[in-house]
Amino acid sequence: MTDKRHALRGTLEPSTGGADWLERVLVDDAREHHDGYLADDGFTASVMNKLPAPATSPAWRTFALTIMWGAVAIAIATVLPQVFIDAAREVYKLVAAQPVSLSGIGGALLAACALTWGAAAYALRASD
Amino acid sequence: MAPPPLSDAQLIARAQVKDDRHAFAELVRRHQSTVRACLRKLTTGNHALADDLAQETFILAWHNLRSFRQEARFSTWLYRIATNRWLADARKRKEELLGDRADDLPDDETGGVVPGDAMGSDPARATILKLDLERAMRALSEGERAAIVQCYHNDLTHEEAAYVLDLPVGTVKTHVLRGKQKLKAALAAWGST
Repeated sequence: MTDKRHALRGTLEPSTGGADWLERVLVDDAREHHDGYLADDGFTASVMNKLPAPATSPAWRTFALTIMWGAVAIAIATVLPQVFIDAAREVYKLVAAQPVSLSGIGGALLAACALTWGAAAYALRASD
Repeated sequence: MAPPPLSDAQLIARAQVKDDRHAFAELVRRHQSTVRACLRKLTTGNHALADDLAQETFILAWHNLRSFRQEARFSTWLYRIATNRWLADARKRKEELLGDRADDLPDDETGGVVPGDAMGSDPARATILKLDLERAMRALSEGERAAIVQCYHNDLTHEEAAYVLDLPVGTVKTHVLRGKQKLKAALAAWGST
């Protein structure tokens, strides 16, 4: 719009009537509007004060959760040691029992490449 | 040497990913003037209301920042929120606004001043014309006023204005055309000299 307006401003004579005259009034009003900068005068601070408080968990919460889950794990391991051994055995079976084929390796490599390229593209776009 | 200032996109990414309030505050500082000025135009000079709506605009922007995909410029996205907020407020105050309009219709607002060269060298005449234009803008429908403010005052293309107003491009063009016809009729006394 700006180029069009500047072109119009250049071609209009001071006493042109009708729509051209109105166009010039609007363009001049818009230019005045665009050139004027409104000082912040505490506006940003007042917006930031009205934002909801950040949802931060207290420092003790993470510590308490770690202790709690640790205690639960130790308790289970003490009372039911066989459960831990069975679980570990099942996980090993799951991983080791998978047949490894050439197409499987190729697929995994392709997925890894796609993931890397996707992440790189996203990072480049974000840094523009 | 001071590091170069971060771009809007970098500040937005920081605010989106890390909930970085300092980054968002910088975005508010950069865009507050244009958003407030846009709302002052839409509210036809009601600065207090415009600033309240501008605050709500930035608070809404903070809440919806994660949904901003940078398909449009950040300022255009802010204009969209601001215009929606203004439209919602205007609809809420519809009856009150209609009452105001009846009082402020630009019947013969130029008074004893002889209208002349628009925005000419005479500052008094330019000021009166500005006030008349503001009054005439009040008589426009919300859609017409919003379209003229976006296309002229915010310097947006018709396509960008269509995004801001969530309307088809053709409708925006029609709003601008009709708005200008109404303004022309309301300010006929100025244009005839």
